Amino acid sequence: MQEEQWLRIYRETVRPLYGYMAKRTGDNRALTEDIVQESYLRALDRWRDKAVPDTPLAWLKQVARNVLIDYLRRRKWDADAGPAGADGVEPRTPADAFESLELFLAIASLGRRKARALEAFYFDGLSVREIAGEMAVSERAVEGLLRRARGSLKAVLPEPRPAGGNHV
Amino acid sequence: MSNRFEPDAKFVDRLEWQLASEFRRRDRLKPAPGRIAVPRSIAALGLAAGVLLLGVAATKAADLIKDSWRKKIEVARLETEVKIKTAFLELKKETADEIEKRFSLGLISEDAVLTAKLGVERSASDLEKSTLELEEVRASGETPRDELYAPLVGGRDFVSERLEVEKKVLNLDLDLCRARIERTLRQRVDAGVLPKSALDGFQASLAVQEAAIADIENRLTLRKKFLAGEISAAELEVQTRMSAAEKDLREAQSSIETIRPHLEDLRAKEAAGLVTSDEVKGMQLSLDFAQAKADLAVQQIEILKQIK
Repeated sequence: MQEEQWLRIYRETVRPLYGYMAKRTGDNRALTEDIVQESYLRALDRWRDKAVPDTPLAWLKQVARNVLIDYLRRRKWDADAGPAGADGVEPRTPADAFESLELFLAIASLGRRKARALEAFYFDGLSVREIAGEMAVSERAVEGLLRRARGSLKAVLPEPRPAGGNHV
Repeated sequence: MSNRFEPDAKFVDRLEWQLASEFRRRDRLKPAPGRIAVPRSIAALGLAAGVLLLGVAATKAADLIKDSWRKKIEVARLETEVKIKTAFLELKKETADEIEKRFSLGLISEDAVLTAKLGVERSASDLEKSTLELEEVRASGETPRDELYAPLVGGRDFVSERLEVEKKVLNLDLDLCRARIERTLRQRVDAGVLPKSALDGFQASLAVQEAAIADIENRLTLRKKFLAGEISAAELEVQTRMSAAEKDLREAQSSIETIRPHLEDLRAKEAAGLVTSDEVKGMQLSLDFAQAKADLAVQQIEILKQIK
């Protein structure tokens, strides 16, 4: 891979990749930027030795998604961190973004197909028809999949916190 | 609303600049065709291995290298080794810095940082050992000697100095092992995320490290006694062997303690049809092997005790 090719791919993909990630992080800028940066560094590691994939954006999205899941799981593990505040410490992540991150992690923990359908519907704003086209199934099948996925999601989502004000 | 989910222009520019620099930096590190890229390249590893192998052959060929040309070759070999290891240490430091940077961004675990730091320390110790060997060859005109009964060289005790370096690395290894157990494994095992066997494995390696450190400390004490004239060379050899046998025994016992519950667990699973009999046989073999090592160590200790 030559430098021109590398930078061309970057210019073509950085905005859609950022948008894809920002929707999943609840538009948390700092986190989105970190993940986008890390994804490109991983791409550089990988693509220099192996060939550039046919669809670099799809590869980058997948890596970014994995990096985010990894980050969230570790964060959850390390401190089971919610937005701080009770002790006067400013939370690193705004409450609404935090909810979005929790939602993303919960969706990611579902089965592959359920997660794919829910992410496409909620984060990428695709219609049932568009999702059906992308997954090569009928619209009815997507509706059923979304219904089941919502049920599973409800079961894995954490209970709303008593304090914090944003939960209804 | 318009710029929601849109990257900041400054971020896009800065990242492009960073990625272009990173691309060029890695390009520079790539070995050029037909030329060995020293320092800071993985090629250094291959070269180091080659030089070391050649060096070993040369050293074996001539125990005494007092002849000036032999000494020159040996000194040149060790000087090259020191240069390569210095370059390798720099590479490790750079990698560790990069890892620390990623950790500060919250993208990797602290475990990776600890491992990278240990890698740096190992390389530093490796370099320190080679530097000591070089100094010894320059001072003595002979190949470096590691026997506990080796004489002092120009008033310096190179044997003990190298043992101290070894001990330092083992201590760092031990710290890392303990940190892993405390920070991650124990919590996860307690939370039921990992099986208890994961903890057992680490605790066994902890016991092995502790045994190795105890062995080095013992050798250092014996060396001191020998140099002070408190024990003869013959007594020193017996006690050195005793120390090694005791270390082997501790290691083997630790392995047995770790393997036994695994084996029982596997047998229960085999009965329930969850694992194959081959897996059980493999584990049984490991246990037999550890038991044989322990028996051999006990025999050696018995024989050595009779000499005393």
